[in-house]
Amino acid sequence: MKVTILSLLILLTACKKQVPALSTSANDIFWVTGNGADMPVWVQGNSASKVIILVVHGGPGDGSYNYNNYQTARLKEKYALAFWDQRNAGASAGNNNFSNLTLPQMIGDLKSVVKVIGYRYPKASIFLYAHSFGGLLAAGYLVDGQNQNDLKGWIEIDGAHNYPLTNSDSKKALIDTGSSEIAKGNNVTQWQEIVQYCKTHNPRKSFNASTQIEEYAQHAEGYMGVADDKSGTQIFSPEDPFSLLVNYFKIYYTSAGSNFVESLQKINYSPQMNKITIPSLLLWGKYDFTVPPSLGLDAQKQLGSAFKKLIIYPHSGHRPMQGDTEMMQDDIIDFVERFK
Amino acid sequence: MWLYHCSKYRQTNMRDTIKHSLAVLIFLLVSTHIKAQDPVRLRPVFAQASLLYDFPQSFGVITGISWPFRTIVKSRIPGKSFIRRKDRFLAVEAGFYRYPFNYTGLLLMPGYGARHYRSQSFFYETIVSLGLMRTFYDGKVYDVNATGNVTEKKLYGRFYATTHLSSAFDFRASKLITLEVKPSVWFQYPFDSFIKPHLSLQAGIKLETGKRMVR
Repeated sequence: MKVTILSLLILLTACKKQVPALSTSANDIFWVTGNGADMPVWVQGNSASKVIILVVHGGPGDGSYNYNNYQTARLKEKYALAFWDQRNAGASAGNNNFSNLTLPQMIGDLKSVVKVIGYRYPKASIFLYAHSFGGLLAAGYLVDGQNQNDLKGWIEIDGAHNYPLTNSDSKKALIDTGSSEIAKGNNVTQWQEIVQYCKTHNPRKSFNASTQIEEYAQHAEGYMGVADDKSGTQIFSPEDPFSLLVNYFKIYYTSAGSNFVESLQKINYSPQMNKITIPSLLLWGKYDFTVPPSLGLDAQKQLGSAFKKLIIYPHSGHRPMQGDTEMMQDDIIDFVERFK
Repeated sequence: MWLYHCSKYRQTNMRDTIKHSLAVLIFLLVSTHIKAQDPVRLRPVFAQASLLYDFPQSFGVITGISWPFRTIVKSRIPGKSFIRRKDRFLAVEAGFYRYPFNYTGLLLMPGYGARHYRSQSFFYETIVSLGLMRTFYDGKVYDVNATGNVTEKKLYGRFYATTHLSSAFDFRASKLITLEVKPSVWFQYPFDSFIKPHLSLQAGIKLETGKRMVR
């Protein structure tokens, strides 16, 4: 009899949906699995706020823990941040799954992650924090069906929601700024090389040219005085550095990875962005040559949101969370407080 | 005739002497080799337990046992006591490690190795293992179906094949107890359609649980 009652109790508690305790210093992990990939989501910060900001990292293949440092420290004091490693990125795992790495699949993954956050934190207000490639992914998710109804708002940070425009504007920004800097006598040799290359190559017709121009864009930030990343790689973190390394290598140093990255070059969500009606905060670094501020202007023009605000930070390149850390967090807090 | 007979006798005698001398000489030269092929050889069987550190922040426990199946003794310099002994063995190790806020890995590693004796108190091993790994993720695992319904997956994880290359350094503390340090590089595959490397270090003890007759 005792055994039966005990078994019933175990069964009943096993069936009960377990919701994590809300805390001002949450440290939670869960995984979302689907189509061959197991993706970790670390929820850290103030979950008692009932606001969860889901980090949609860049890359593709970068991993989310790169944002879990001074760049988001103040946000974590006020809200919970969910650091999600996309499939074949960061500490995500799986067996033979690379054939499933497609943008539509990743959009499906984002949908699943948002659903699971809603399931685990039933009354939470969810915002997206989408950076760079994450901006493309988030845009693809938001224009699809009713997905945006699960969110209170989204924050696009130097997001590449339109790859063809990113490529052509990156080239244009490098030529314009480079010519101006050459005239001023700043880093003349370096800028001449960049300008010469950009004038003679078309990134929309050649993937190699696109990759080379992206590399020049990163160098150009340094020539404009944008400080390097202060955070460095976090080796001792829950995001296994060997997994990160393997995933990064697979995407950027194998033909299968190159094929995937090349497949993104034609993706353009600008014509559909009028479907997005949730509050939108667009944050850009003034010296971002990788995804220039003109992409922010394009998003502002195309979005169907009643609230759409573009802020351009004066000391930043492609990562304003590094260059203008405090200002950017202030702006995000203002936005979240207004729409949570 | 007598001389012929005597000469014939002497020839036979000489031939026998040479035969015997050669036999003795060969025996003396190769006596150690013959000893090495002695079929009745007792070699130690070890059971081990060790703590595992897997870079960067995983810790666990590994236990195992190794059976020698062959021993080779080499002493090719006559008159010198220099002897090199090597045991070949089969081993099975099993254990687990936990990567906090990531996953727990269970490992089963059958392997083949060579144990090189360098002195009474020190030997080292080189081991190759082909194994199986099962992961279990930290925290809950969820699946979301096409209609957006969320379901929880119990004890969810994945299987991987593994290959381990290890060198163990063993210091005999007593007849029974040996202290061991064992660095390894090992590979987990297929991991995201690729091969994931690991660096690990084991430190523990080996117990001589008995002896086994080997070739």
